[in-house]
Amino acid sequence: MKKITTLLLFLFTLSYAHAQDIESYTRLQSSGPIPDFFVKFLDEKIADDNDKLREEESITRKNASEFSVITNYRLQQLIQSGKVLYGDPLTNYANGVLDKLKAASDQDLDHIQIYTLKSNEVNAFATHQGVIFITVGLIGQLENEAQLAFILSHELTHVLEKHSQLSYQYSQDLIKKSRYGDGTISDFYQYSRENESEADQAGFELAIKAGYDAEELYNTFRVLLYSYLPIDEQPVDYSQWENESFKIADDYKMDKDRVNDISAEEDVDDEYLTHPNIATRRKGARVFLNNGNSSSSTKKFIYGTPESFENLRTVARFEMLNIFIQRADYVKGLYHSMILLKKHPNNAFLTNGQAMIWYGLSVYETRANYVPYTFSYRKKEGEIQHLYFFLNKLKSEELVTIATQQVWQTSLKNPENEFLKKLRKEVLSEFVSYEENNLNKFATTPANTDSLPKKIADDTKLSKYDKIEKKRKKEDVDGPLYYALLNIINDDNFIKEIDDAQLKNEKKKETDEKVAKANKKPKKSSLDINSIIMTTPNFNEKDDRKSAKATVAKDELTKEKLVGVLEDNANQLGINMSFIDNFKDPNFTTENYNDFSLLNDYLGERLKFDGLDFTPYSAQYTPALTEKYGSQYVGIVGLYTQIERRPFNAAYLLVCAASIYGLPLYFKWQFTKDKSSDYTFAVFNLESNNPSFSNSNFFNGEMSIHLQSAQIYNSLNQITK
Amino acid sequence: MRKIQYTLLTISAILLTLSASAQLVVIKEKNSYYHGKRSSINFNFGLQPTISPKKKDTPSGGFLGLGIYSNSKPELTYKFALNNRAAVFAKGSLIQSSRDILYGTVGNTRETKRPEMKGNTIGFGMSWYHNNKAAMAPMGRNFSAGIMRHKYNVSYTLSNNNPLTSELKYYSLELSYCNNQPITKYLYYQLGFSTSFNTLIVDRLTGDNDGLANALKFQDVEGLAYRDIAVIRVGLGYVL
Repeated sequence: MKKITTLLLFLFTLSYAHAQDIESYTRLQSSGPIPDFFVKFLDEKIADDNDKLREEESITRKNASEFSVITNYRLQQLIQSGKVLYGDPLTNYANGVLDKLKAASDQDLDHIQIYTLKSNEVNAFATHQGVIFITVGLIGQLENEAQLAFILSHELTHVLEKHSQLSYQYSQDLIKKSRYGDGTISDFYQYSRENESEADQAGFELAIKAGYDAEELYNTFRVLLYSYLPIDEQPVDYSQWENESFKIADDYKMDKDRVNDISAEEDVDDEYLTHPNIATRRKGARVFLNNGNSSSSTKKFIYGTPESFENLRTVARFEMLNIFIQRADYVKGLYHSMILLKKHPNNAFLTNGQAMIWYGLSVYETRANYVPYTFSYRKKEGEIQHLYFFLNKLKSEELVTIATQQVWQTSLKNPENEFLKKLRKEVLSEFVSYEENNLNKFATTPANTDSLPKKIADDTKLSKYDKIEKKRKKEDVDGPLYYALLNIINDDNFIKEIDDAQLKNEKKKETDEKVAKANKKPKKSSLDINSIIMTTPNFNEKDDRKSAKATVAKDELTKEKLVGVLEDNANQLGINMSFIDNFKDPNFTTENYNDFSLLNDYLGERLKFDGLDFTPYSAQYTPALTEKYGSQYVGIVGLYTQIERRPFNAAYLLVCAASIYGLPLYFKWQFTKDKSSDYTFAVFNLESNNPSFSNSNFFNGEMSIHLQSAQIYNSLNQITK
Repeated sequence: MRKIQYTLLTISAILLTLSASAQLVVIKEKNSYYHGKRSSINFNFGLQPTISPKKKDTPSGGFLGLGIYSNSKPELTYKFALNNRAAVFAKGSLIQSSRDILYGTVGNTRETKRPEMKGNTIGFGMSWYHNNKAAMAPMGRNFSAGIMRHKYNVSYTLSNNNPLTSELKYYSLELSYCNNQPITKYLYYQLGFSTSFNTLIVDRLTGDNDGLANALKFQDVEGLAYRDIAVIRVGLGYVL
């Protein structure tokens, strides 16, 4: 039965991997039933884990209880962050490889679970419960299945050899033995490196036993060494921004010989690193292979085929673009998409992504106070340095012009895409906000290239005054981007929307002034929310008197209570409230999980930009949420309590001691805890992509559940009619 | 991870809202009161030091022989919230206690019994709630100020069975600081402290103690003048 299930799963994964049509790619989503591990209650997980750990010899009973709380809590936070994928092509493929490793291993590996993390970092890690995480960036950079197999068997070794438990125990023993001096820290790193070397060796052993090519396993270190570089090294193609008359000037292009060399070194000092440097790891591997452990197998693929792995890697690389955009890592994202576009020209997902990047760049460049990316090119390595240089040299208004050109060109090619239509409208608001970007300053007809040499020849015959006038005229008109908008400037829609954008900007200024005046005398509420999408409240109490276990237990319990409190208050006020991320609801399904994941991506991307009117890339998927949950509003509640001991204050003591009757007051102050609570309620509008309401209070004291409830009632009351 | 992420999300959402409030929907803060409830009723005991012990047979001397006794005064208060931060209240109490032994001579008899004192207090006032203690009217920490009217009847039966009565009316300004904390959603306990200044203090300074009736009155004034100067309040209330 087990074999049949595995076979079915295998067939399903293969078909799914192929079915993922790259031409209509949008985003990676989880599928299949939600794993029990995601919805299991934290206290159950902790209790189960604690029971298991207590039977082990790797960790003492006392440490086991603290260790199980900390690790399970963190794992829960990670799982419920919406950044974890399951049942997607990447996870399924990794599970397929895991099955091959399971077959080759003598040990029981049935409890191992693999999930994919939406991150562009090249990384994989395992927890002691047997949960292995691989990142999207890892799959995007690997060359073949054998390398994935090696990484998985490396992580498997960490689980099987109980490295997490042992490290925790080791660190606790170190703390006990001595104060945390320099020596102790390096001792700990030394211990961690030994574990890694062990995992490398055992990983090799398992992967070779499963039949993978030993040389390919060895090449994995090469992938790790250059993992900070983009997925490929290709020269920047300037022609994508150019047209028949507009060529990027040489000032904007970096000299070939100024490019930095790739500096990645194998032999870095690893005294304070958890992993040995690549040179040591390679050496270890070589010694291991030379000791007769090498295999004659040259199989790079066992579970899949080169095509299916290539397919998978493409999926991962496409998803990487989503992640770059969500993190507003625009320069890397732009280079990434350029590389992918060479292989998949005119792919709608990639061109849309690029349009979004240009739109994002124009908004951040025009209005952001804080910019999460950098244009600094001096320390960058590889071909991407050219792109950094180019963007660095562009003035803000020039960058916005190129952005306008790119967004509009993409939109005109895909006239039916509503999201692009929205972007092209929005990018014009940025475009017209620069005085330099007057349409008169851009050419409407292509340059007459034949006449140019003639002109130069004619110049000799011109009088002094003609020459001066001509020169001045040229300076007036021909900016470096004079011909940049040639492909779109004659489009009727473009002219119309430019006028609209100008009008809109003027109107906005007027309303801003009006609202600023009105702010002094607030008018009646115009928020009339009767339905809201709610995220589960976030509660955290930081209490230095309590153990990690007690804190985690209280946090979990209070969160659960607060869900009930929110529902009660919403009922009382007649608000229809739907929780999007209530993992504890028995009806919570993968569909809900995907919705929550989308919302989380959306909010993360939107809130990176600290101003108003920014359309995030994920906004193209949110209308489905709005329709499904019947509301365009998302509510976020946060409650944070901090309880601290008061520090000794000699000045207070002296003042109080001056009159003997003051002393009790001093002691009361000194021996009661300093408590403070922060309460936040914010409502975000998914349609306008702007926040609609926020209510935040700071209280000196701890809030009982009923006072928290009263505050929530108050906030909800403010947003209703 | 999620915690940090959410913290950042909420903080940035707030910052965004604050930095850009000029363009947001302008909302006038509506009064929510405590869970939408405006009224509350509260029954509390005022514990106070006094020189008029409540029980008749209290041995003389009191605390450290200073003639100070503890007394309790039951009160019923009705509060009505005007908005989230302020409320008006009306309260009343019935008081029964005994005066200290009355010394004096009527005819040939020296009177050494205790007079009885019965009275009531009614008053009204206003409360203000602390926002920085998560308070929302009519729940939470609050400062109150009120005007009280006190009316006392002191009666004494002379040895010859003739009654001797004296009536007192005075006003006081009562200031209190109380903490109403919920036990269940609507039931709450009250802990607080109050002090009051009354018009009797003026009377006391100007009164004269000729004759027994006057002596009785004078002693009442003396007993009551400082009666409510320090009261600890403990009570239970319900939000209606």
